[in-house]
Amino acid sequence: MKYNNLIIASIVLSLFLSVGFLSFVEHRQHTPSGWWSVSFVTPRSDSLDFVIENFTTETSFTYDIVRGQEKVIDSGMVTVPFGDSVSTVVNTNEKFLDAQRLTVVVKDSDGNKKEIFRIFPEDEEVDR
Amino acid sequence: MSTFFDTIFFLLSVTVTTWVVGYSVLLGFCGSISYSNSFRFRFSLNSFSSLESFFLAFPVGFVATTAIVILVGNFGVPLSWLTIALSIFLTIVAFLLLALRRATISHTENLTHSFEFTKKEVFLFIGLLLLTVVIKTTYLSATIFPTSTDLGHHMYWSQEIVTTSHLPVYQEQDVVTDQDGTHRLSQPEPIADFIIGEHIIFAVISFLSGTKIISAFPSLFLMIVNLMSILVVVVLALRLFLPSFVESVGLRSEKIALAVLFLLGPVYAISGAQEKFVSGGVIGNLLGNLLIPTILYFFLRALRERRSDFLSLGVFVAWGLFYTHHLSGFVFLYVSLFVIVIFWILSFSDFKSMFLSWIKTIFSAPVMLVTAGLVSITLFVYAPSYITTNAVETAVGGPSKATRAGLSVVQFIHDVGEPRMVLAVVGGFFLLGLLIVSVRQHKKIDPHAFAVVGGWTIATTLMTLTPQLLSLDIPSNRIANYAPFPYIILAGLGLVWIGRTISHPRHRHQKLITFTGVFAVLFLVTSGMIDNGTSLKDTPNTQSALMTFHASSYLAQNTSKNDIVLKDHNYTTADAWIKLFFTRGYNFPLSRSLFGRYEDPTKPREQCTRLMISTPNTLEGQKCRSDIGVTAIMVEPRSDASQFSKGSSYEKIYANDDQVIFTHQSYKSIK
Repeated sequence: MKYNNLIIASIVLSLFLSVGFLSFVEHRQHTPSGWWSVSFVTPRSDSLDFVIENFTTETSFTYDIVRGQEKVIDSGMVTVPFGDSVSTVVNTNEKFLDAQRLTVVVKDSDGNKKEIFRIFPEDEEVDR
Repeated sequence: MSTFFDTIFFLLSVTVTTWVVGYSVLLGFCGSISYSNSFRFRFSLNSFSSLESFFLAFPVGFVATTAIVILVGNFGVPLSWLTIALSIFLTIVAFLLLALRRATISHTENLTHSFEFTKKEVFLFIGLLLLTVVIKTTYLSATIFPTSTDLGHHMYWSQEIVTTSHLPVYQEQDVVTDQDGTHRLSQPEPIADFIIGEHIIFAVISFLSGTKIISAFPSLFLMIVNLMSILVVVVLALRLFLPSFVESVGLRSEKIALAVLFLLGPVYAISGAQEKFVSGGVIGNLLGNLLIPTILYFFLRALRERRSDFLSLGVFVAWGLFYTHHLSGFVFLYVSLFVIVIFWILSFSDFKSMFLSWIKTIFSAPVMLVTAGLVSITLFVYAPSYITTNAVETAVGGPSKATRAGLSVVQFIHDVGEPRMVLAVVGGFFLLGLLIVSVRQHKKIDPHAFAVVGGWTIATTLMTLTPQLLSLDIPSNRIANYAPFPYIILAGLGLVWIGRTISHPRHRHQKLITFTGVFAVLFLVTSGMIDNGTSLKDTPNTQSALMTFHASSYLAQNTSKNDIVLKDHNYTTADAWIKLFFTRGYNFPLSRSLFGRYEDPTKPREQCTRLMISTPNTLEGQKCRSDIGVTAIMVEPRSDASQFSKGSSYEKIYANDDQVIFTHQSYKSIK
């Protein structure tokens, strides 16, 4: 009978170790790394304020606000530590008026680029 | 550190909801608790060896926990960790009181045969077990991250239980087109493919342990289910081939059980209905493979030993099977039918007297009470969803497609495993020979073992190879997943017989048998391990799935119940898990399905979900979006972003490497 208990103990131990190991592996896999994201802070408004969430070791980002297809009307730099998210307020001025499309183009120090944009149809008066 | 505590809480919650509950149920049905004046309690479960009680408590506990939550949920009690913990606690207490009462009314417990592994056999058992766990763990380490489509679909329902604190209603909405060409979402329609028993346990574990459903724990629980199903088959083999049955031909039950463990554990540990099903999230099949051998165990002992307590347990677990997986329940019905037929044939002359002695067991108070209680729950509290949707009618009537017309013999042998099949044939012939010799010598045979093994084998074989004979209309490759277990039991018998024959050289065909045996074992080990090796996967790119989850979380936070969201299945990793972030319906977000499905002439399909992503700026695409009211679309940027970036109807509000989110202008006008 004691040998039966040895078998049971070995099952319990092996399950514990297996589950523990796999939980650890999954936890490591569940840690974001090697990418970053950009998004609008209040997507349901016309605000251009955006947030960068960074899971890379590169912490320096630059941004351009582009009017239309290529006219840069504002730019800046943002530092986002690894695992952090930083919001940037975009102050609008007369350069933003009557724009039909405003794009936030963000680049990291390796030159990787992402962009998000707002559309302002011609007949719509918007409060930016 | 939090991973450590999560693991501990997960294991504790699994232990309580399965083993602890199961053990108390076994005590309540078959055991007793006595106490001395110094309040020392003695738990007696002499009807089982300690191995059997440990292995069987798991499936029994799973069914009991599922039943508890069905009752609690259907009586309007909101599900939370408190209500679930309290319900489980009260259930355990109730069964323990039952066991206590049994001790006070002079219960004489039937001592059962206790299996005794020798020291060498124990270490071999442990060695095989560890090897099995290592192989399965190695495979799962590359697939443990939650990305599987099937598992994602199932976990939606568990997430819904956790989010809403109520049992789910299995229904879905689809995109439909009215006669006038207007597209809309249909009224919710019932779904037959999901059954409550596949989802409750995961929600319960999440409630009790606090671990999220979008994590490793669903796969971890399925891994435990798979391992326990192997061990239940081992104890079933022990009971099938009792010493009184096999010792007369020089075999030992313990050796046969070890052989079964070897054939079911480390060899072919990944393919088939094993670890691939664990990572793939084929929950119903895995639970069916756990519960079917459990039921056969209890019914075998009930009828052989005329025990009403075992029959009650068998009925209880069988009820749980039908609340867990309809296909497994269906297979079990056919297996039962064939077992009864073979039993009748083998005990033809004695059948009447045997049947009359069974009547007393079948119509005993415990069995009648349990059956009445369970039937009442089905009729008046909660019936499985497939009953109310008439899904049964779609499974019978003869094969309707080529994929349901049966596998070829070659495919079948491949599914079981060629070397296992060779050994199973040896084992089958050995059993047959034993039967013939016993009949010729007018020896009394124990028909139970022959009937269970024979009936199980023949039923699953016929269901897989010749479904038209049984009027079945089910995909044959799915039925084939149920065939290996009985063949492995036969193969275990065959392997041990070959081993004994080799080690006791008296047979006149000694050299042939030795050669066959050694060749078969080498072939078995080699092919089984090669199969394991080729099944192993490289470590996946989980970051793509994480980006999907990140985007989904953002979108869920920035949409309201008035928004309709659309996503893509073709290029999005782990897209089946996106719905867990919303819990707004099984089909929410709407999904662009696999491209081939839109062109399947046998199953005409709506085209809107394809058009709204592939050609959003065409008239049809725009009409679909406008009619249905889609306000946000999530796609993979390299494949599908350009069509949204070109026009002036969509804004891009979110971007990472693998997912971008576009919102239509109408998104801003929704609160």
